[in-house]
Parts: sequence; C-alpha cells; structure tokens
Amino acid sequence: MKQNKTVIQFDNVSKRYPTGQSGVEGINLKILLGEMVFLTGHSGAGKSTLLKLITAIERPSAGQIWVGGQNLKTLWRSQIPILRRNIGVVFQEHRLLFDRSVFDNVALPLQIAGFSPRDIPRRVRAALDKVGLLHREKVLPIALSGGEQQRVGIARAVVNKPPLLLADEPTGNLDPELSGEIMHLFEQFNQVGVTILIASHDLALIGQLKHRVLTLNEGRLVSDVGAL
Amino acid sequence: MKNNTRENYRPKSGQQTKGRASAARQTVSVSQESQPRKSAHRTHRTSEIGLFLLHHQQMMWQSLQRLLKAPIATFMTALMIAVALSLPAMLYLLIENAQTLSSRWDGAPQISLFFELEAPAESVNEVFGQLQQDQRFSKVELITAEQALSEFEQQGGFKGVLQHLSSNPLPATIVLQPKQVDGAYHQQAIAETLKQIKGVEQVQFDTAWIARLNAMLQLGQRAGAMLAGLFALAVILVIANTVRLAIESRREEILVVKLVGATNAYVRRPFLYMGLWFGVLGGLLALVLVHCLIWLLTDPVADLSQLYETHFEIAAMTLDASLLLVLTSGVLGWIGALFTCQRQLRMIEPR
Repeated sequence: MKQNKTVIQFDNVSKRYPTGQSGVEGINLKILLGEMVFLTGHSGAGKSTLLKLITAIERPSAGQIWVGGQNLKTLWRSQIPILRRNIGVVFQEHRLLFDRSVFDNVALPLQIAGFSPRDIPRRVRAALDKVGLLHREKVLPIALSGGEQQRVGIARAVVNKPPLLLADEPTGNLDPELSGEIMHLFEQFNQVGVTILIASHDLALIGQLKHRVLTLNEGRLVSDVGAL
Repeated sequence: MKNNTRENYRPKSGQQTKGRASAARQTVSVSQESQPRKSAHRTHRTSEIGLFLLHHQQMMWQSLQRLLKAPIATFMTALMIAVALSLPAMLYLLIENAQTLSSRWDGAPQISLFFELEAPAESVNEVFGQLQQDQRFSKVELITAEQALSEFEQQGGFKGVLQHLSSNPLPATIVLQPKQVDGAYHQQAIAETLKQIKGVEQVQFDTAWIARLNAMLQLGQRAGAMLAGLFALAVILVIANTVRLAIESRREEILVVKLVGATNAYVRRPFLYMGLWFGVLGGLLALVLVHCLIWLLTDPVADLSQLYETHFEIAAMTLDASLLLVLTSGVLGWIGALFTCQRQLRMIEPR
C-alpha cells in the first residue's frame, strides 16, 4: 500500500524540555502514505514526545516537521484544530468521556468537525461496526472491559476517516491475545490506505508483524528496519 | 478488490473538512488530491451557517439542561445575581417614583404671604381684596389667624394645650397661585412687589423645597448609577467564578475535544451560554424580588399619601425596564463567562 508521497517528515528535529524531562534529539524521519510503522524503545526514549510533535501538542526546540505537506512551524495556533481533525489518535489510557454513551464518544470528532447530524449516526455505526462494538453503542464506557474501551477509542480515532492514525501504547494495558486483536484491527485500517504510526514497547508482538520498525534510544533514532 | 474497499474508506478531502476555510484545507489536508471523488455514501448537504447555528442552538439548550440538572446550586447562584441586581433596580425605581412625585408640584409654585401677628384683620382683608383684583394671580385664598388656629387644633390634637395660650400664635396667611406668563412664573418680580405690602412679614415660595428635592434626587441618581456599576461588576465576578469552577470540573472533556480538533470557539461555546443563562435567570429572579419589595411597600405608601391628601401609588417597573434588566443581566453573564474562558481555556492544553 506504500506510495511515494510523504505524510510525515522530520528534519533534524529536537525537543528539549526546560524541566529536564527527556525529549528527542536530532530526529530525521520520513513516513510515506499508506505505511504502517512501529515506534519502539524503552520508556522515556521519546516515543510519546515524537507523537506529540506530530499533533502539535508540543512544538520542536529545533528542526522542522511536515505533516501532510504542511510545515508545522508555519502553522498558526488557530489552524491546529484543522490539523488534528486529519489525524486520528489512540491513547493508552483511552481518554473516553465517561459521562456519555459509547455512541456519543465516537460521534465527538464528527460533531467537532461540523458534520451534518444526519450523517453522524451512519458514520458512527460504521466505525463501531469495524471495531465490533456495534451492539454496545448505548452503553456507558464504564460498563466496558479494558479491551472494549480501547476499541471504542480506536473507533473514535477513525470515525472521520483521517488519512493518518497515531497510537500511543494502544496495547499497554491489554493481555497478549487482546493486543493481537487490536493490532490486527490497525492492519485492517492500513490495508484500506490509512497511514499508521504505533508507539509500542511490546517487542514480541511487533516481531510477529512484518512492518517497518523505528527504534528510539535516549531521544535518538538508533535503527530503522524494514523501510522501503 | 483492495482498491475498491480503499475507495470507500479513503477520506475525501471535501467531506473531511466540510468546506471549512479552504486555505486551511489545502494546507493541512493529508489526503491525496489526485484521488477521484467517488463515494459510496452520499453526504447530505447542509450549509455551513446552518450547522453553525445548529451547534449554537444545541449548546444553548444543553447548557440550560446542565444548569437545571443541579437546580439548587443554579438557584443559589441565580439568587446571588438577583440580589446584586435588585438593589440598584430598587434604587432606580424609588428615584423614578420620587421624580414623578416632585414633577406634579413643579408646575404650580404657590406663594404664601405671612402677615405680622399684630397686623389688624381689616388691613389683611384690604390686601386680600386688592390681590383678588390682581390679574397676575389665578387663585387667591385667605386664611385668617382664627381659621389657622382652628385648623391647627383639628389636625394636631392640641386642643387642650392651645386653651392655655393667652393669644393666637398663628398669623393670617394669604395663599397665592401665580398665573403663567410667557411660559414662566415671574417669581422674582412678584416677590419684590409683595414684600412692599404693609404688614407682610414673610413671602414664602413653595418651590424651594422642590428644587432641593430635585437636587437630592439628582444626587441619588448619580449615586445609583455608581452603585449599579459596582453591582454589575459583582455580577460579572460571580458568574466568572461559577464558570471557572464549571470549566475545572470539565477539564478532561476539554482536553479530549481539543485533542480531536475542537477550536477554541467550539470549546468555550457551552460556557458562554452558561454565563448567559446564569445572567438571564438572575435577571428574572431580580424582577421577582423587586416586585415582591414593591408589593410590600404598597400599603405604607398608601398610608403616607393619605396623610398628604394625595393619591399616589408606587409605580412598578415598566415592561421596557424589566426587559432591559434581564437583557443587561444576560450580557453581564456572557461577559463574565468570556472573561473566564479567555483566561482559563488557554491554560487547559493537552500535554
């Protein structure tokens, strides 16, 4: 599914925190449209920082980042929401809203992006169907198991069909079997053309899947295996 | 086969950003421009403005529902606002009423002519006769010393006391109602001539106290305006603080919606409506309070006006004034919420 169009490009990017918290240092990186990439390294190696730089949660101390051809340096503050609508993000801790149903959680990005209320139910159900939770749309997230909550988080990330999907330790709290299911779900999205970047330290699982693997160590990119 | 599924899944850049600012779409859209715009699903077309208004409408009712879910807390806050608003509103109302009261007498300045105690009744009668002929006065009334004494006895209940007095302490009085000439009462000129009359001790204008009252009312008005300003500030602060707590309690939700691409305007919209509702509810409650207070004042005012032998009823707030109060309160609430949002939402950013 790989094509020669760059979705993410890092040019000598560094992020240092004033608090001394570990960031990233001198990252050069290119991810092409339709790729599925794993980002690995021990905790504190800078995986989360890298993902935060892509969604403009953090701004780099040095270097330049392009996402979908847009240089993030020239991105205005008011344009950040538009950037984020084009990136689906899956969090380790799900970050679901517990005061509303599964359906409403998944519908959130559509409401924010200004989709017509007539389109929303169909899209939400399509996303829930993909993660196999269509029958639980009326349930509150608290009533779901950890694996189900994670799948709701994935449905929310893909509901507005973003071309880029980021996942930060999506299987961090799950047992191996559930982790495998979640990864299989990501592979399915990749097969329909979504570019995917998954931060994970689950080396065993990553080893089973034949995808490109980036390894970070103390903020530096130390290996890039399986790239074209 | 794969290509087909992909066709269905791939985002169409148009669908995705839904006609958002086209510049933004071009700059950050990650999707492929060359891809044919075919979609298995037909997107319903609703205008951008329609969706915008729809969201406003939704947020308006949602924030009201949210407030009504905690009725006691909402009532307390609204009551606090109502108390702050009803004080200046009440002051305004009292001044307004006093003004109508003073304006009733404003047009008819009476002149009282007090004679010396020793002035003989004949000369008083003579002056009275002359003044009756005078074209400058529309009404001339004589109150002899005896009449004054008997009136005083009847009204004051001093019957017993006065019997012990050797002589009448009250002078004869002539009450004059000057005619209007060229739209003005030539009081100064009249006073000069009246003072020349033999046996007249004092010429008194009834307008003096009205002028003083008006000056006092003006002072009251100024003080009322300042007070209203202070209480408006209090309303803004009360609502700002309430909204700040609401923002804090929904911190996680704000973080999540910001992460999935909500603009600042989207995030603060429910809170602005919350401020607006607090203002409107507080304003309505203030109206109720003011009307209760007026109702409590009705009887004492009726008693008082009876003593003054007038028919005076305290006027309630007009519809215009009531609407203005509620509207102002709503705007104050909105300002308070905006003030908090500007400060608070900037601090809640995903980390």
